[in-house]
Amino acid sequence: MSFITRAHLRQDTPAVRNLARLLLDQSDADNGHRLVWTLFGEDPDAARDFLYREAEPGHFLVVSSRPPQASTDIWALETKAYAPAPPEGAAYAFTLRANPAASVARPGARGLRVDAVMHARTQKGGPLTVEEKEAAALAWLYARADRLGVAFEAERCAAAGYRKVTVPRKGAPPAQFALVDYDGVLRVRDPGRLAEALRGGVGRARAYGCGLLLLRPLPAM
Amino acid sequence: MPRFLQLHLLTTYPAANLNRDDTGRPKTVTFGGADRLRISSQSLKRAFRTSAIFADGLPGALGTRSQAFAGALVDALVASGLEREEAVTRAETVITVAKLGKVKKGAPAQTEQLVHLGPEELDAIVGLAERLAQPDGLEEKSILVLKDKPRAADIAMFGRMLADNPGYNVEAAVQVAHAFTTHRAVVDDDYYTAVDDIKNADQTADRGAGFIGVQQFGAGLFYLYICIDAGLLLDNLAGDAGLAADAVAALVSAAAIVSPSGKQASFASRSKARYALLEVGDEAPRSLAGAFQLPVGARAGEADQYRDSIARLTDLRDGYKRAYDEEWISHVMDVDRPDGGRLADLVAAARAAVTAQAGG
Repeated sequence: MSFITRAHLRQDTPAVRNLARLLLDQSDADNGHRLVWTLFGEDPDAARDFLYREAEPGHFLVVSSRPPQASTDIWALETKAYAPAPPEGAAYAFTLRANPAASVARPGARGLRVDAVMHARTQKGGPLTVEEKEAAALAWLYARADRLGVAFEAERCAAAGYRKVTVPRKGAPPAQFALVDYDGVLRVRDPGRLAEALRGGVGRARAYGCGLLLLRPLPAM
Repeated sequence: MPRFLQLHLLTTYPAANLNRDDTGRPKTVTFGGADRLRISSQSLKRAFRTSAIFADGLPGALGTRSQAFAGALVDALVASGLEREEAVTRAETVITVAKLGKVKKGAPAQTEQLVHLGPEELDAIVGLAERLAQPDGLEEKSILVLKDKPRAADIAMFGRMLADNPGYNVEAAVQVAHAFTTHRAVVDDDYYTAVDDIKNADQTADRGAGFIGVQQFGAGLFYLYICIDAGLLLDNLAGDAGLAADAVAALVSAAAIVSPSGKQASFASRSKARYALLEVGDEAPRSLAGAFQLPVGARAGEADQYRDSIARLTDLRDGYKRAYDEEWISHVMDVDRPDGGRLADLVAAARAAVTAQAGG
């Protein structure tokens, strides 16, 4: 059993408004990460067992294996059971914020991890157009279709908002990674693999708000 | 003379399937760096045009937007004894000669584009039946169907475009902006709501039953701006002050009352404007959309989207008044205040403004 939660930092009482603003003012990938950790934070040594996406500052969607526990003074939480089992053949609209990281083989050395857009830039030897960036980002996603148990409808998929994020870390070099927002339509091929991906996530940087794949049914036309 | 009427509306839609693309995603616009829900002006105008308020308030003075407007002529010709094929051919000649558009291939007596025609123009087409029924009844180049200024309130307000006959275009006297939420609206909420509709592993319910929860998304407080050029409206209606006043009255009512949704039966998302500001004057028109460039709720102390939106709106209006010495006369309806004014008063003020424009 998993859970899906809509979590808002509350701003509706004077007592928490200033606190929320303080938290929000610093809200970037790192602080979003720390804020969401507080929802599951009773055990500092616990492994991360949740995925989230910051829909906008102070507003998160979270999928977790435990129900979140948090002070209701600060958080407004709506949680419900999440055990999606999309049937084979069904089509859904999806959204995904992902870190399109791939490993590039190097002879005689460990694979080099680069993001798909930077890799395409290197291969081209010059700056990419907006269309080329989107194509590179989509190629990364399509390459994962089998693993996710889906087929993407290419003419209805889009990738936008490619950007790089740097997160300072204590006692370690800053984490740097790229983000892309995907939207589109997919068709279910392997329900088991898809269910796993919905709960487990897609790609890297999942601790920083990447990899949460969300589905919704398409409207009847 | 007050040439312009500006209508500013704030309307709450609690749960609606207002305006979506083919994947069911609500239409959005990014304004001031924040996502907002949007209702297109085309969808609003269509809702107004097809409303009972327009039908009741403007009897016999509404146009018809159709590709198949010549169907009545075909029927009349068949009734007078022509073979259907011949009737279609003659009706298509009318479309071509009267320059109503390009005849659509594979569709009898239809045009490629939608054509917006006034009642008299439609009557004129059917009126050709008698002449056309004669063997050589049609003298080419002499058919005149279109009117410069058709007596149709919707055409006069929203204009029309005839790609093949631009001489009979009508310039819109009413400009309708896209409505958008005064606050941020998160489309991702859609996915949270959708969870109940994606079959859960421990349920056997048919997934076909679901999706209502998702379609209910679309809640928010929308700002809509409409600008009426009373001078142009009167001109479009060939100086018919009574009809122009009726048209403006129907528009103000419809804009406040009619919800742009084709699915009222399943959503009952009917909403009336909670706040309306009508400004009458001769100044250069301006929208107050800028009041919401910073989304409502983003400023310290803002917790009530409705009241804060009104405050932003009236602050910007007062700012324009001071900076530009504007002399708009304001009429206000605020549903949430006991002394907040009535829609009937706004409608009366709009009527009076059009009548004054006609008299001057």
